[in-house]
Amino acid sequence: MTNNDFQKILKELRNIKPDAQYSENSKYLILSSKQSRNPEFKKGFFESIYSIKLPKTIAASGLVAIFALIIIVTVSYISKPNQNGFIAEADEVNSSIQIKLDDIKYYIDDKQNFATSTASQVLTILNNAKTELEQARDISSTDTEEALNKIKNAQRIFSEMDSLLKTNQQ
Amino acid sequence: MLDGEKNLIEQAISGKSSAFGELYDRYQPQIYRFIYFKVSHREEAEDLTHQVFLNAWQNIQKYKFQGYPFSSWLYSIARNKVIDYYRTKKTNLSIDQVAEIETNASNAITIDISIDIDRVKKAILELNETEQDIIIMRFVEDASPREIAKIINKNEGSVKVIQHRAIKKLKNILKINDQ
Repeated sequence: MTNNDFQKILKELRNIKPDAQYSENSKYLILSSKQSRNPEFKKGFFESIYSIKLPKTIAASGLVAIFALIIIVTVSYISKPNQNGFIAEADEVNSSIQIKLDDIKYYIDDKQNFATSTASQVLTILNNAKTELEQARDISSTDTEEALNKIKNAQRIFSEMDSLLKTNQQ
Repeated sequence: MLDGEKNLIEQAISGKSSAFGELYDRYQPQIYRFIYFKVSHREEAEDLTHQVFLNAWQNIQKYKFQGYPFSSWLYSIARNKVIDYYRTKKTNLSIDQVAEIETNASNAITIDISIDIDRVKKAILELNETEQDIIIMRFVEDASPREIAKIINKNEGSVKVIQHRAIKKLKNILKINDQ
């Protein structure tokens, strides 16, 4: 290796970057956390999830609060006046999602430690599901078929999380 | 200090999260890189980087302007986090266990350069902690000797001496010819 190569390589090391999704999730968690006056705040990435304060939160803990938001979105979607047949099908899917969310909440409450990468993936999945449900809500009065597809997408997304958490538990 | 940074910091101190968000965007990659070179494990580096910024946000009211970039404060927190990390984790990391660097380098990077990057990274780990800090901050992150001196609590003269020694060691480890 020559001196020039060495200098080039040192410059090349600047191209190392953190994972974009991790960065987004980390930033979200940090900015959502309550500022405290406590001196050394040593929470790790996953532990920080439990100090999230969301605008619409109805629960204290982080991931559970996000679940609550998703449930609210789902319930409000179902409450909109719609064709009866559509409501029946959407209601069935919604029940399935509620059961899945209860399972997931159980895993999270039961588990003390999650790998940082798992927590990051969980957040990503939750955000994706939330997006589907919000889009479903927004178009439910104009395009019921597409809205139902979106809520089914959310159902599939929650199943992904279920598999992820079960793998983490092994 | 970067333009507009003082204003951003003041807003962050007053509790404006979006201002701290901008500081996060500005400095997170370099803090991550610094930690990644020190711990050689992506997930650990992510966790520690998160702790650094969480700590910074939680304690931003304690930050005082002293004529140094905001990054100096962040690097100080990062150094302490890495020290704590090694106190609680296995310290005798075998060089063979060191993870390979995944760079987001341009397509022009060759396999040879990739191998050389790995060699340089392992060589940096053979330096002592202070030498590592100086090499990473000076040559990877382009920090000034003045800033580095503030971060590692030494005078500028000592930083330059240690830097010179560290480069010499690295070249010796890597068997570099001064061409």
